[in-house]
Amino acid sequence: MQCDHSTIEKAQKGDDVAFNEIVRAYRKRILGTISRLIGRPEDVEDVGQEVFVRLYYSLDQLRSPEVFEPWLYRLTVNAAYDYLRRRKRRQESRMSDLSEQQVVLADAAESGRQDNDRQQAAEVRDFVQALLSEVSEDDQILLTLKEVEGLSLKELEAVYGVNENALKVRLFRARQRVLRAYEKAQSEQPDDESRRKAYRR
Amino acid sequence: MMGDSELAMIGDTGTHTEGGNTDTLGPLLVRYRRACPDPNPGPAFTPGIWRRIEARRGITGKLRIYARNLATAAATACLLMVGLQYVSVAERSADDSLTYVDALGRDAETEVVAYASFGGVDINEPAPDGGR
Repeated sequence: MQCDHSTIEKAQKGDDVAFNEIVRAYRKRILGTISRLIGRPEDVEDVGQEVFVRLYYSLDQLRSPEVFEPWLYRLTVNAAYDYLRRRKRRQESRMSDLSEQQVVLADAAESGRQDNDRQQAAEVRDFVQALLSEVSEDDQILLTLKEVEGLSLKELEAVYGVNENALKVRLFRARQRVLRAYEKAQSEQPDDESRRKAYRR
Repeated sequence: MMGDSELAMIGDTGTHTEGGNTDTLGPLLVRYRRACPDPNPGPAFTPGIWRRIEARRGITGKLRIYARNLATAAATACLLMVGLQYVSVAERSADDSLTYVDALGRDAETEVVAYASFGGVDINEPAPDGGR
């Protein structure tokens, strides 16, 4: 817990200073989660601000400060869902724009000018984001929260409001779908052995 | 749906314990986590939140005023309609208390008056020839 209960209670009663403290305590972590969920650095702050605005207007519905963090994660997940759905609609309506792959290549070309480690990191980032974009927003978000953010099943239970077994099944299926996308991506790039090695490392 | 045996095979964290699938995806996602560190918020981040809160507060404030006015108007209209309903029920119940003969007599009276006034003859006046 990055904030004490009294600060959350004060913010619930409309104390703006306490709310600012909450923003300060959680903004970096929430922005990090959003950046890994949506994969677009230019839109991270926008979605992050939306999360905190939603938090401000829904704090009075929070039953107790103990469940604050899952509550904040749920708001983050919902805002990310909304963003991904909006982005999907925009992509569908702009057929003449650059394809996702072209954007990835452009990013990779840009990162080629940077040093080797950063280039590799950019490649991994682009590859995983391209992989995750092949599955549904549900799978994408669930897997990111579990595998990348490191949330436990108990925490995910609180975020999603479903039982552990249902979550395990959903996680398993999500993983299978991502693995299929991974295998497909591998078979489409048979010559790029060095890149595959880099991803596996 | 999955059975208990399949669920057990998935394991405690939703990973499949057969085939080594997690060996491929797990490290890749760990590397992805390292490749995407938490970004530092820009200086406009927190002020931007407050701007949005204020903007939304303005919209919700206006909506609340409209809603209050609308509720007042609806309540007034409701009271007015209840009043009208009460008056019409009271009038109807006065009519209902008449007997059939009284009601018929009242209707006949109206008809005679109409006929008399149409002919220009007042039936209440005695006829000059004694009514023959």
